[in-house]
Amino acid sequence: MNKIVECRMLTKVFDNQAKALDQVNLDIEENRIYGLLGRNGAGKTTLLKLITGQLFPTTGNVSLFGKRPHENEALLGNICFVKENAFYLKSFRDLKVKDVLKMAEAVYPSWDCSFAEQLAVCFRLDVNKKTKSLSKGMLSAAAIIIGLACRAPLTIFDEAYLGLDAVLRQQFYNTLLQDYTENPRTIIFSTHLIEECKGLMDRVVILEEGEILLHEDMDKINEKSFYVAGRRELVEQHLKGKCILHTEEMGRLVRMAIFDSLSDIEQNAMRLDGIEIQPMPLQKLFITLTAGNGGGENEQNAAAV
Amino acid sequence: MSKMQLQFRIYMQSLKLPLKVIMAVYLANIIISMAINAVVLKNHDFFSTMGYNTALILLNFILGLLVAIPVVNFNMFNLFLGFGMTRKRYYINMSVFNLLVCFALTLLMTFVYFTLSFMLRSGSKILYVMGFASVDHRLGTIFLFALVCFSVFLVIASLNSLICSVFHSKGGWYGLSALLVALSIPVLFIRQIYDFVVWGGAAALIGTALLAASLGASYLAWRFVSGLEIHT
Repeated sequence: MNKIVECRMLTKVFDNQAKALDQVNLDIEENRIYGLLGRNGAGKTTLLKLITGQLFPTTGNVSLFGKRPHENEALLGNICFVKENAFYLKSFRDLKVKDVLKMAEAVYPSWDCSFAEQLAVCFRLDVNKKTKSLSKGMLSAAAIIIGLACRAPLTIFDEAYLGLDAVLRQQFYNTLLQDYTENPRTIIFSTHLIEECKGLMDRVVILEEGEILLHEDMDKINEKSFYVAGRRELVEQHLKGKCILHTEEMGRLVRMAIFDSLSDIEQNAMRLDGIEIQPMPLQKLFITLTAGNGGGENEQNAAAV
Repeated sequence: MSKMQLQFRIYMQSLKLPLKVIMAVYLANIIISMAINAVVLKNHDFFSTMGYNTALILLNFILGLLVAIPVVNFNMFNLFLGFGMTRKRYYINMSVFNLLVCFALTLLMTFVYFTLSFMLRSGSKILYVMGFASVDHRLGTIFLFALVCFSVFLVIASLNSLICSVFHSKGGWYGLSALLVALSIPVLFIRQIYDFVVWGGAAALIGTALLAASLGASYLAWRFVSGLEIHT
């Protein structure tokens, strides 16, 4: 598959000496939906801003469609970055929503006007309202409509759903998936609502303290994330050499979170020994990998992943 | 709609608020000064009073607008960079609009100033600004007045753009320092500026020097803008 974003040894240090990203190497492939996950301050937005040329890397480089994104007008028209805080749209003040959509039409060559109108109805957004009078949820809806209708080859949603109620969020996910199926493009989806969005993600990138902890296909994650529970000695014996992320002890019983492949033979053997195997949800995997609660175990295991 | 048209539309839109505020201050100024003339000083020469007030208060209005425009423009940077525009494109468009605004304001100022003489009832009431007399309608005088006005307006807008670019790219303390440096320049030459405003002088030379200073300030502003990062 073609790589449309290539980050090499990307480091960003801010003026206050805080290292937001540390030697990140990341390739984003064409026509896939990426889930970018990370705790607050993990460096997600910084990474996205570096990709879109809004920030300059301290060291390392980013290439977008094989070129540097900075000050490259032809490239920037192919990117749509829907930011987490759609309040910037309020800067349009007296302009009506329909005028803002017309402007987006001027910026994005592949803008679909009828789709935008359709989405406005779907999200119950009054296009005759002035942007300054829109609520938080409606601002997010307007930003999402721009993100979806622009059909930019690289579309980035950075926690774009803020203020949207559960129904509208679901509508957004459904529309995104349906439109992606009809018009494949690369979408990066940064979110904290992991369980809600996991159905969208094709590939997952987990960032923690400016470093990539995990970069894996969703299918492979599902094949490798397990909870294994049973008698301690038996579980330890079966999981020897496997990547154990976390261990919970309950008397003689243990429950281990693992991130490793288990063949059918291995699973059957464990079940015969009375060991219970359950798939681990993505959110639990994320918490296990990133919850640095003082104990070094998680961090060591995360490094192993 | 091209990106330039798009930016122009927002530019005009963003000017609405400062325009309203400055216009309100301007109108209040005129009304108060006219009321003082009519009620306190018992001077009922309406046109004369209005003529004097208009020229001076218009100048304040223009200066207010020239300060507000770059501030508003720099606050819109974030919006346009998120809308697929480059720093260079935004800055060039912004500079072109600023030039147009300075040109329009110069026309307005020149028109108001030189039509004052028709509003004044008595020929003895002549308004002198930068050594130019409002009753002197020779083409050369009008052109020179317009040139000086244009260069003054442009240098204010350019310096203000430079200060805003420092604020946005280097942070508040550097911005404040740039502001103090910019303010200290006229303070250092206050005597010369006073003499020039009252008596006039080498208008063509000063106009050209100010235009050169505007170019220098615009270049420096561009240097800061090209390294501007969008954090919000």
